[in-house]
Amino acid sequence: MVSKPMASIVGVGCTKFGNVMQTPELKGKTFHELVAEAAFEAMDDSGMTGKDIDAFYIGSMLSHGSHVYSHHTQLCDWLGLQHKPALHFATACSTLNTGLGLAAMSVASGKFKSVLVVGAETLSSYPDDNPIKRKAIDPTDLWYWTDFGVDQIYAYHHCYDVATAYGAIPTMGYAKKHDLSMEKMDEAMYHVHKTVRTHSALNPKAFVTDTLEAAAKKKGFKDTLEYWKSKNNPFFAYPTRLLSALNTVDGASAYIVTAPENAKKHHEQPVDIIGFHWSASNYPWYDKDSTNWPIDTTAFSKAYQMAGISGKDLDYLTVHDCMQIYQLIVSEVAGYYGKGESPKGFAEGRSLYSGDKPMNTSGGRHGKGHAFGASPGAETYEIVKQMRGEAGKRQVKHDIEVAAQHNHGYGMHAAVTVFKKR
Amino acid sequence: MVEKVAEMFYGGLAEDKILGAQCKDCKKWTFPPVTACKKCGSRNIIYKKISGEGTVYFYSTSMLPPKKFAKYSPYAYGLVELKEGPTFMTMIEGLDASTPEKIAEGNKELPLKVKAKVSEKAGMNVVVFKVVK
Repeated sequence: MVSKPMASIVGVGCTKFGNVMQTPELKGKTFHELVAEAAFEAMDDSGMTGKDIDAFYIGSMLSHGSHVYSHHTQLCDWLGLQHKPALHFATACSTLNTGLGLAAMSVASGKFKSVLVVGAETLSSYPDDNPIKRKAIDPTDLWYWTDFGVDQIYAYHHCYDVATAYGAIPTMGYAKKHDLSMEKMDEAMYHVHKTVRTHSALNPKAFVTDTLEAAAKKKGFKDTLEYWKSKNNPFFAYPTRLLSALNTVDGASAYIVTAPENAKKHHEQPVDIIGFHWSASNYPWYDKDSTNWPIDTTAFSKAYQMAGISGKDLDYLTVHDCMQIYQLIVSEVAGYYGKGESPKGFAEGRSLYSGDKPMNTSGGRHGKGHAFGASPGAETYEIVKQMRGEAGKRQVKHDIEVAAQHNHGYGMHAAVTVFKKR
Repeated sequence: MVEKVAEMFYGGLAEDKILGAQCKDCKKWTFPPVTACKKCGSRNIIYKKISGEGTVYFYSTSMLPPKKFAKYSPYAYGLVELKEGPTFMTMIEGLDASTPEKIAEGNKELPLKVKAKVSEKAGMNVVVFKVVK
């Protein structure tokens, strides 16, 4: 039996994802202004002002891009929440998913009626000793700082290679487990990516705006699979190709969580949080079955148990896709697809917004772009918009009653939250 | 009082000694060693040498290795299961990571037996594995 709601989402906000030095909608904006833009959209969506919000939690991972510590003190006045209870929190790239559980517990305890959770990240550049002048971050520096999130006593110094550990070996593990040739595995990843690009091209807030077909055509390819296999898309870490990986971006996202009994006062279509769970692991994240991650199985089973559902009850799923192999692996862990069935599902278009098993309709970490701690908030934004029927051209065709969101946070943390339409 | 485990481990490598931790309660091994058993959480552990024997299951290499290891690129980075049970990932000697084709061929030959050795990488002694012929 589906559980009673512990808290409800009554407002969501999300900026365009892109580059604050280049993207027209973001150009020239500071970290503080990105936070305010997402938070104010969520406040306006709920009809709340600062007076209605009892506390706020701000999530962000990489201080090297923002040059901010103590985010809650620096941002409270920018949000109109001076002197309110506030804190900074982070679980790396799962941060704003973790925030759902934190806010839900805060509301369920009775301590606060309504909590604003906002996340932001600037990964393209940092303020160069001047808040309105920025300097681009070199990708090797970005990953040097990002890798502070992985075991710094042993793993990092033992020739650490994230693309192999997070992309290549789980992809080879999936192929081995399901007896797929590497050529078939590559085609499976092609279908996942085609889905990613179809979604991001329909999302005005996404970083990547063209479909895979359009990108192929631009390079003179009529056949998109040929383009996929061409030198335009080299192996980032064999068998994982460059287009199967994330795009790091700048951006912010926010949501407002309130007590279920108050929710209808703030929005006519509240989205209820009915279950969540988290699980943490140090490196390595798996054993010789590289598709079987204890943190994922634990987070899903406990979140489902709390929500009173199974994977078969899901009408929509979003999973962490820093590397797109997780759209296959985790959709099966979640029970959304049967074991070994997700490649066929993607090839048949079942996980498109127009299919019966829609996934990651925002465009995910390649298409929408990956603003580390803020990205899960963009996925919650997508779930809420989809449940309300406000997702525009990428609106899912069926009614979404129950949805789940999964995220990985570097090092590695898994967060799963289950949502129900009121 | 918590032991200086990291210093013990890296100091051990300087003497060609590779240390893990074995739990006195559940008997499981933790590698590399930390301050509690990775399986049951017990602090009742003993630090002792591992056999160094293991099996490599997968490997690949990245276009964008950390800058610390860029000078070794392309290098084979692989998943090893130790004879004692834990899995560990590090550089593997004796596997060809020079091209995607070589990586594809190399992975078809796995699993293979490997043996741990101490090797200097980017100014530090670390554990790598070498394929046993």
